[in-house]
Amino acid sequence: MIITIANQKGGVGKTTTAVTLAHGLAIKGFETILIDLDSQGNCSDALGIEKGAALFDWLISGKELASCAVNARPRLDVIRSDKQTYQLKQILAARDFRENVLADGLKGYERRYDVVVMDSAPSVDVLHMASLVASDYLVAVTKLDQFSTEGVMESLKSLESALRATKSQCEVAGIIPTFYDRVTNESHAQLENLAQTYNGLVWPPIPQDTSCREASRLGKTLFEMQPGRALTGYVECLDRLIKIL
Amino acid sequence: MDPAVAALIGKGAQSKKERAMPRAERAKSKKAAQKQADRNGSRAVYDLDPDLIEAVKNLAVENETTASQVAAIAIRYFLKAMQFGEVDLERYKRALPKNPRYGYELVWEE
Repeated sequence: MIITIANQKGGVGKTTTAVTLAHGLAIKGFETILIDLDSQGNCSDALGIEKGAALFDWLISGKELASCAVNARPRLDVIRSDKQTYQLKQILAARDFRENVLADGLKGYERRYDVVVMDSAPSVDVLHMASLVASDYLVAVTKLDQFSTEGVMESLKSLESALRATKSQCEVAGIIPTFYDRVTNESHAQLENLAQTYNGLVWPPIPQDTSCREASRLGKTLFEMQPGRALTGYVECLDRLIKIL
Repeated sequence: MDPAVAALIGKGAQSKKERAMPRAERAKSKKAAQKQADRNGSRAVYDLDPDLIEAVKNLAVENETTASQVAAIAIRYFLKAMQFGEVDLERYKRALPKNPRYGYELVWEE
């Protein structure tokens, strides 16, 4: 199973979501690989490991997926990214069939992994499109504000384009609202609006929780911190994801 | 809508309503909400096929009773049949080798 975590707006919690869900799947017994498609390389930071050019090595140098991955946690490997991902995108832009680059690279992943989780960058670029082509499911992440929910709509439009133009079979698995503040009317109104627009696709929101920032600073995942509200929210989302798997 | 999301939205709407109420009315509303929450100890939520839900609902209407009552009787019948060996769950089991949480699913093929 291949999953992309996306929203074209930055700062909505994509990396935290990708890392938390990937680690959660590993804890539940799935052999998981997390692929960081963002040149900022924040997945490495979130896991407390060094950034690296593994994404470049895998997609451009043609090395094997498992050989480019580093083990970050039990049953969780990572394909790291860094500034070389800019160069990677420039090289890919000149190639034919560039939208298949991830699908081609992931052929045979089932020999080693049960689940692939891809953390995409907050932009519509060649890797974003390639991840939608390669994926079985899209999980959209959004803050409960106007600009972020528009980012979800844009991500879903990109998915429609990918479905029309390629052999992609990607479906939307769910939409995860983040930074949910149960006190403010605006947060509640945005959640209601999102749920009415996308119905059963909207999963339980992730409450605002400083443990997310602390975890990133310490290079730990939420499962390695004192259990907090955000972790409770992610566990509910993980249950829904596992049902789909 | 996802039931957890619906519950949150309902709770949020309720909180918004309560904030606008006078104190006495707010206390009454909170008491009613607490009564409902206490009832939840005898409430279970299961995922069921739509045809089952419809069948239980129809039986309830035919017998002028609640769907919960019909479901309760049906489950008691099933549990009694299990107790007397009249039901063998093994014939419904299908293995789920890759699922770390559950070993089997139960499939009704009749």
